[in-house]
Amino acid sequence: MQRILSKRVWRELKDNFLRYLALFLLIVLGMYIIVAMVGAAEMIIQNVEKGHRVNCLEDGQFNVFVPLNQKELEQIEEAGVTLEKAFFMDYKVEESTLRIYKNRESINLFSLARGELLSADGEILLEQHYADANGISIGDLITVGDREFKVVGLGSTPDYDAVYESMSDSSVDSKQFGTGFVQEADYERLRKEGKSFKTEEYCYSYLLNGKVTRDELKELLQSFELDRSQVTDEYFLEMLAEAESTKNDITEGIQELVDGSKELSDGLLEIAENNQDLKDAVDSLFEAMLEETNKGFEEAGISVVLQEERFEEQLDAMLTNPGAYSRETKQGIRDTKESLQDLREFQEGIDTYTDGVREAVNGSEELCVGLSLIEENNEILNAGAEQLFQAMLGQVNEQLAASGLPVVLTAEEYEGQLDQLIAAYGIYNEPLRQTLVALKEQLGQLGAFRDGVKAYTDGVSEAFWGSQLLVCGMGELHEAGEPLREGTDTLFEAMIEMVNEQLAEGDIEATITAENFEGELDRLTGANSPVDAKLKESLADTKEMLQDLQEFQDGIEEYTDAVEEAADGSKELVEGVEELQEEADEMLEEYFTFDIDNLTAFVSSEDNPRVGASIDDVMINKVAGMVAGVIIMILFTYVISVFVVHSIEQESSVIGALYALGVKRKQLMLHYLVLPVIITFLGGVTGCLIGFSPMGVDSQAKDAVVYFSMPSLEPVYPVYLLIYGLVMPPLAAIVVNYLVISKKLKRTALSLMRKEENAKNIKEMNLGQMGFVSRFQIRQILRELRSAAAILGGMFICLLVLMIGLNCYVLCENFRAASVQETKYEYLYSYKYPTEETPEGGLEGYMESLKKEAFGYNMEVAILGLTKENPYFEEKVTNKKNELVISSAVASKFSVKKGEKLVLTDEVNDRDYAFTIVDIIPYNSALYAFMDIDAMRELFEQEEDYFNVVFSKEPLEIESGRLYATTSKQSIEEASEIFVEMMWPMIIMMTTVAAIIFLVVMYLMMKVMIDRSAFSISLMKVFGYRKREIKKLYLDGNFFVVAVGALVCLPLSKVVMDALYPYFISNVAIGLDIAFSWQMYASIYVAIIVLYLVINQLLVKRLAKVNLAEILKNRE
Amino acid sequence: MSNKKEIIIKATKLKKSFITGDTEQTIFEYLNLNIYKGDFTVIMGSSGAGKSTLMYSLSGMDRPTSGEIVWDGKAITSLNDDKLAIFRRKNCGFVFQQIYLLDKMSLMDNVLTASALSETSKKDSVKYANELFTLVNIPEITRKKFPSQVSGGEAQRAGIVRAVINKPKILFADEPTGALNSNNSTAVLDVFTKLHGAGQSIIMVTHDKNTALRGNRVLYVKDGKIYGECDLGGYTNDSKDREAKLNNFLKEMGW
Repeated sequence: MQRILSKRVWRELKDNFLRYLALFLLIVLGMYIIVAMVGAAEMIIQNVEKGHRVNCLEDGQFNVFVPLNQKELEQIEEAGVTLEKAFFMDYKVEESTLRIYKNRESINLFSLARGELLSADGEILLEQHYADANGISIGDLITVGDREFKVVGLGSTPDYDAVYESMSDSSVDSKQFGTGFVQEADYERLRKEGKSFKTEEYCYSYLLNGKVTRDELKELLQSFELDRSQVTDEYFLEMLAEAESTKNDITEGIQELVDGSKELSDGLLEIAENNQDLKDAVDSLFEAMLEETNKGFEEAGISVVLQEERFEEQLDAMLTNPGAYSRETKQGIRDTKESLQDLREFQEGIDTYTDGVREAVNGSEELCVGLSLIEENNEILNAGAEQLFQAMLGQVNEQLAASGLPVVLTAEEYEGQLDQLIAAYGIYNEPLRQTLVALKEQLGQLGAFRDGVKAYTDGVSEAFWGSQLLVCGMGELHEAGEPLREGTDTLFEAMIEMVNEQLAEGDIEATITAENFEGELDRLTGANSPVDAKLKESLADTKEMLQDLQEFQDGIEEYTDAVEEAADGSKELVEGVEELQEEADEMLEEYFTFDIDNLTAFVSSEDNPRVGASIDDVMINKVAGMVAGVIIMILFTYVISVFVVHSIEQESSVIGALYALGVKRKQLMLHYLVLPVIITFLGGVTGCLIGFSPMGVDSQAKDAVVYFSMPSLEPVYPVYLLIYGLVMPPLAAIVVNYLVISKKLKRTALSLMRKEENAKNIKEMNLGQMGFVSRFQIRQILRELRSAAAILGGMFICLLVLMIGLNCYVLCENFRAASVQETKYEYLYSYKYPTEETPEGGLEGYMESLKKEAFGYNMEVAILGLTKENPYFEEKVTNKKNELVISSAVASKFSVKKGEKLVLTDEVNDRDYAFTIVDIIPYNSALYAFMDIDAMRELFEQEEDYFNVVFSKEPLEIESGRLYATTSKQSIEEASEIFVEMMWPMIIMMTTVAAIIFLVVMYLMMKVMIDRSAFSISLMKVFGYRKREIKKLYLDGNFFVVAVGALVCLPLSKVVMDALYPYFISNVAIGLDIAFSWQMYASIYVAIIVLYLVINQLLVKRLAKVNLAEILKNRE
Repeated sequence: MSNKKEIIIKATKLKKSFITGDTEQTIFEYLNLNIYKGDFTVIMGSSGAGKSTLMYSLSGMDRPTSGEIVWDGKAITSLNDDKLAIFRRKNCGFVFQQIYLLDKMSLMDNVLTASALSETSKKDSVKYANELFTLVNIPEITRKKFPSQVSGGEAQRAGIVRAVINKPKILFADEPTGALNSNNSTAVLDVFTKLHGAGQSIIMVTHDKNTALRGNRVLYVKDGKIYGECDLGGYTNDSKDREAKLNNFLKEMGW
């Protein structure tokens, strides 16, 4: 039976040879394109990855201000890292830029494509596309600087897969830029000659060798401080000095504060130490005077001995007994003189002392004012840090909740809580464990930052309160100092008065003053002195003197206590200020690293847009190609299934008879699957063979080979693709056909034999008063819904394919137009070492490049700080530090909207910036965001007049050594045109393939519609319908299917492709402006209708061929 | 046969042959035939004798290999496809053994399909169709049904209505009762008789004697020729004479 059925297969194939041939060719075309596309992608991926291994692709690279010194190099080597210098200089060669490197020895080796490697001085290896684009061949001589080099080899290096001049470039232009490699000696000579138009860049490539992580290496590099003695670049030194002055101002200020407080403390301590001496001295003075008095009493024969505690009482008792004592004036005056000398000395010491204290008070008051200013900021700092931490905590809690983890972390216990979570969930869920560890680390870092700020502000507080205490102490000291001075003055004056009174009472002509008391008292106490003593008065004066002295003693007590208090205050101040210094140092270390460490850029190979760009570019082809292959094959096999269903319907009675004869449904199913499987298998095999041939893979890879710089590609034959190409088409045929035809074969033998119509399929449609033709056409469409569905499905898929091409065209074209329209300046100068003054004719701007991840790529977003009068950008920026106006390019790339937050990362300094998007402006040619220049300077802690880019209408005279790059409008326009040029073949191919598939599918389906209706067409002919009338009934109805279908499929396919497109161009740093103009939609629509009309016209002939006698053939 | 009757079709030296591989199979050759207005002509013959082929050639549905067919003085063998289509539209109606109604269209729509190109307005066509439906005993409700929802007899009667909707000069019927049971056959044949009674010229191919009895002229095709002809006269309910006459004729023809 199977053999008989097999014969029917061949008959079916023979009868409909052209139909199956067309389908076969369509499958061949589809599989050819898919296999070629995926195969080319795989070939590029495998070869480039192999090139990475063979040519020792770096793990990353970093740039420094000055070359690393021997010690630093040793430290890196000790860490297990392999390092190689990748220093370079840029030279103008004709109109292009040639970047010269020393030939590599261990990392990023040159992969030779043509010629030979360097063997002697004076030779150069060139990047292959640069040489080709500039017409340079092996053996040619090129001039670099003032030197001539002979080109000996062409090839590529793995670190320049995409030969971007700058990592932020969006397209490769081999005509304008390339790389060259010379012997070390030649490089040195070139360097010494200094003819490069930009300063030498100090770049190092590294291999981690699995010994350290990138972060560890980066940390190590950041710990290297800049060795200024190595800096020779005058512009760099100038910039360095300026940058350091900021930091120096701060550190010096703090140092002065520390020094001042130390001095103050030392001084006060010294005063405190002297207090005891002062006390002792005053005690000694008192005791001495007491002793002298007692001695005088003894000598005068008085038996009273004055005691410290009750001398007043004793003296009062003596005074109330006037006749009891003799007068010995001379001895009394001598003793008084000694006392006065002691007091005078003391008085001078006190003067000096109190003056010093007053100065200290003034100083501490100033200190207090300064510290109170710092204190005022504490609250803001703490609140900010706390808010940041709480925000992070909130975010983490949201993440945990989203992951279904039943924990709410608290600020106090989050570490323990996270440890518990890691222990509980991390064992069986490694990704979750990593996430939790990462969250803990993030929170830990933020917590450390919060604690750091807290410690700093605590230090400031302590310093502040110390200074307060100091001031209080000093105030008391000052208050105590005045009575002390007054006391000593009074004491002294009293003693003078007392002596003068004694002299007057003794009728001695002498007056003692503060200036002459020493000489006068010497004269009066001399041997020839006429003075007579009056004991009573002397005793009374002595008593008064001792009372004054006791008062003085009390004052001193109070005074020294105050000094001690002040000393304690100053100690606290010192501690506080020391703490302040420590925390301030930490802060400076953290936030002012840019001007003290040597590192300027640190890029891993994964984040380097030059590395593996070809792989990134074709990776999407691989995935999308395979998915597209399955979709296309489903369409084709569905088309086949429509034929099979047609055959089953035609052979319905035969099938019924076969069932009646005992043939199983399974056998018939196999029978009807044979042809689709054979067609798809042969189509797949043929498509695969052509796909893997040079016509396929090589042709598909051509665009990438021409654009990217990669090693010579060797063919690869991935097993999965062979299996895909050979198995997928027949598999799709089996699945699709089984699903479609199994229902048809499930009918009973009798039903099949009678060709009974399934009652469920008959639906009354109230078509109202519609004309006959319209009604007939609608019914015809309903009758041929399956074919109509295939037409629409085919149209949708073709439109998707077309949209790939057209979106690409529109993207490139819009980018080109935007580049011309949006670039309003003629020149953009990017400074490496900015000047203080903006050059005449230029307009300053400030640009910072931050990073943000999108679709797996770390894209660079340039924030432009604009002055208000900038005519080149019309954006209305706000003056807030946390607000950004973004370009539509940024908005589309990162899918952000107005009012949302945009977080950008400064990867060198490991710092994130969160901005609120206040506006989105149409700007598609670059990933730009805009800020007010002053706000930006403040945000990035730059000086008030800082700038690093200058826009101008005319070329400016700027020393080339100061510049990173000069970008002209013309160069931007030229670069933008490359996109269109580069993508044109792909656009043509996609459009052609879409048109072919559409034509073939539509033709086959409309033809099968005619075939299925052949009998009724014949009948209509019998009724006297002519060709054009039959066409109207059977073909023209499809016009509505196609016209309405196109109206739906066109926008739908556009929406679907627009949603997918960001993934296709995820590595391209431009905006996603793929909006079609209405004219474009109209053109596509018209093209669809025209294609339909072409098919329609072809099928009119087919209609004519439907034999009138068809009806006779069907007679039973 | 009768010279007084008006000839509608005059076929002269008709030849029809098919080429199968290298062999030419001749169905009929040098066949001459006149069809008269108002006749109910029945063509009989054994299977494969070429009855239907002859009828389709006469109707302009099939082209003879050679010879000439003249309708009302106008040769149709030289007409191109479009002109022939218009000719059929205006002059011919067809009833087939397998009925061939268009699925997914109601009986009424099937009828109107044939009248859509006529000069008659849609309204008049519908009116006339309804009259015909009534004539063939198809109730109004059935007229809206789809072919698969009605009996074979109803479908065939609808087929007859479709065939005569354009008031053709000749109604061609190819074994119209071949797929019907006895009751349905009678009902269908009654319709033909009614139509003939109303003046409709009919050419019918059949190998059923009872069906043939409905005609007034019987032609027997054999060996690629009109082998014999029998004039049965007008149909009556009691037609034993006619039946005997036909039996004798067929016997003579070798039936």
